[in-house]
Amino acid sequence: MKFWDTILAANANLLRNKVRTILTIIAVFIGAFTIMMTAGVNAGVNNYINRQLGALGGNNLIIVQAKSDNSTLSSGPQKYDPNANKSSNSLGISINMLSENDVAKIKSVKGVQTVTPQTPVSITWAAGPNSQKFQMAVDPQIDGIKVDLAAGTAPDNASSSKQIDLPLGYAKAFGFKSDTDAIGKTITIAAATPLQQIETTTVTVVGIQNNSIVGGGGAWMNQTLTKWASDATLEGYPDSLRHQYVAVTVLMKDGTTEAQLNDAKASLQKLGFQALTVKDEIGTIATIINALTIGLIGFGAIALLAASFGVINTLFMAVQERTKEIGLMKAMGMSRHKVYLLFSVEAILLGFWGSVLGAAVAIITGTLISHVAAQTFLKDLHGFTLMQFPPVYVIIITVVIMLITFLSGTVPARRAAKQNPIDALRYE
Amino acid sequence: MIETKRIVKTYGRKASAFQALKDISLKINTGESIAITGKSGSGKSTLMHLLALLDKPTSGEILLDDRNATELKERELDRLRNREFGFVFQQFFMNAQDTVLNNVMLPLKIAGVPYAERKKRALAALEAVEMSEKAKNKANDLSGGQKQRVCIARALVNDPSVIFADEPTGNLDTATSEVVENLLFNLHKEKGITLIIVTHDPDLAAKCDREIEIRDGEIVGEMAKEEPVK
Repeated sequence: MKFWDTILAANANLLRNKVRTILTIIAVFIGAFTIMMTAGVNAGVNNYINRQLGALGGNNLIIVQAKSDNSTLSSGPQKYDPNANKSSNSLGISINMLSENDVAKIKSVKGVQTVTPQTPVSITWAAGPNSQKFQMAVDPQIDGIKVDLAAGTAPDNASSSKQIDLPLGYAKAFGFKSDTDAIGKTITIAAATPLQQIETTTVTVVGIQNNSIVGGGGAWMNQTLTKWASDATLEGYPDSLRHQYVAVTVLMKDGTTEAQLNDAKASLQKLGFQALTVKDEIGTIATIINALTIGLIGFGAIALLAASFGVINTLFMAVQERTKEIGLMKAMGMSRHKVYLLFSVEAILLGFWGSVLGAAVAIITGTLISHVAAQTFLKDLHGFTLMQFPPVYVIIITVVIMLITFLSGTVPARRAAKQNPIDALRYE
Repeated sequence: MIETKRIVKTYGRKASAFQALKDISLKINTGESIAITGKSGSGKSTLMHLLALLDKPTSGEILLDDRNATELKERELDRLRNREFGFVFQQFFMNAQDTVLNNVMLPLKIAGVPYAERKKRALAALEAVEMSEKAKNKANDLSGGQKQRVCIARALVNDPSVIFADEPTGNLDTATSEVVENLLFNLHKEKGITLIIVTHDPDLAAKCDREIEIRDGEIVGEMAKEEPVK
């Protein structure tokens, strides 16, 4: 029997008992649908995280902080150390700061290209052509992190002009026609000195960024602008205070491997710093998402397990019903392995139709849910498609389910193949 | 030519062993028509199953055109049955929900013949049994006689050298039996197909060139006719 004939025959055999076939397919479908939906959410979230972090850039970064000592409670009062850089916040918890000396040490670690201090910067107001002043959160642009852009380019840290990327919505408030209209135009930014004197400067808008779950969601400023803002807000401060940082961002040289990155991280930890790679930082989010995915896929797997017993049952009944037919075909010279193949293909087809149906319904439902989500609770996260169905996922899931149903079908198929034509034909 | 040399078929083991066939040797020439007769339980069906290579003898040899069939591998046996043998059964064994044409095409489908040729040859076989106008009907809608004619077409479709018929008229009334018998004997004569019929109907047995009577697993009588009945 030709293979294509086998597939057609298997399909025709399944259609002989439509109700039973459909019920079995529904069982497979439930498992397939659950797994497809779960994979869809996983793909959507991971895709979004990757886009946010920049698939290329983020892997070259290490965030370095001074080691914090939370030992005050356990080890009693500690002696004052005039050399330690500490800043006390209003809650009385002291945070260790990094000094210029520390920055130099960090720079000496193998493979480090640049060290960018994370200066806490803030601006007082920003205003556009309509001269209305707005509050705006700002963040320094860090080399190596790709910004998720709606339009334009990322601010250039090498440029000597002051550049900024605005979050969505600000351009209109500033009096530009649209977000894209603002690109290439200038806005005014004001920062207050410690003595509350306002200094202003003119800044070029180079891009519009998508709202993001990573990063503070502030406007991204290039180094020149960051330095201006920092100088303004720290005007008159002594050098010792001016040059201490909560954290620095270390950018590794191009082409750093993961092993080299981990080596650098270990060296930094040995020097007494706290070092976190981007992977460590998003590790928590990814871990939660992946745990959730595994859990939901577990439910799908249980549904599939139940379905595979349905497949076994269906095929046993089919073998029972078609004993005579099997006997006849074997008498007519159909080989043992072709009989086995015929029943296996029937099992595989149950898996195939179940997963195709599961995929189709999952894609339709998933697309609808994503659409609704994008307009409601994910409204602020532009570019976040809650569920995505990459063809590779769909194909892999379909193939795995077909494999599962094939394995379920092996026992009944073997029974059919083993049948003796004489006994089968005598069977009443 | 089919030849059996001292074949024995035993079912069960030791104390419960039962000899269905005891030391049977016979020769069936190409183009001959043979009736195997006997009461139920005599071993005539077992003999036919062995001749049709559906089962293996406990001891003894079966030669098919001087080839020892008992030494063939399962795959070769399958191919042999598919190409050389045709089967007609008392209970028809048709796929009731399928069309007449699809039923007739089954042996060719198993052989891996492409669809177009399958259809052509199946229609020719249906023509030979005068059932071509029923090709598209469901097998279930046919009368018993029509079903058996379709079964003969199915046995004929792969152009076999031997047709095995197990009580081909057992489920049919006298008139339709006549039609089916004539059909089988015409094919036998026109195409030179060897015909091996298992029956307990003496009239049908009498139409064959030779009649072999089996009782308790042994040949008890052999009758050859001078000229075949028309």
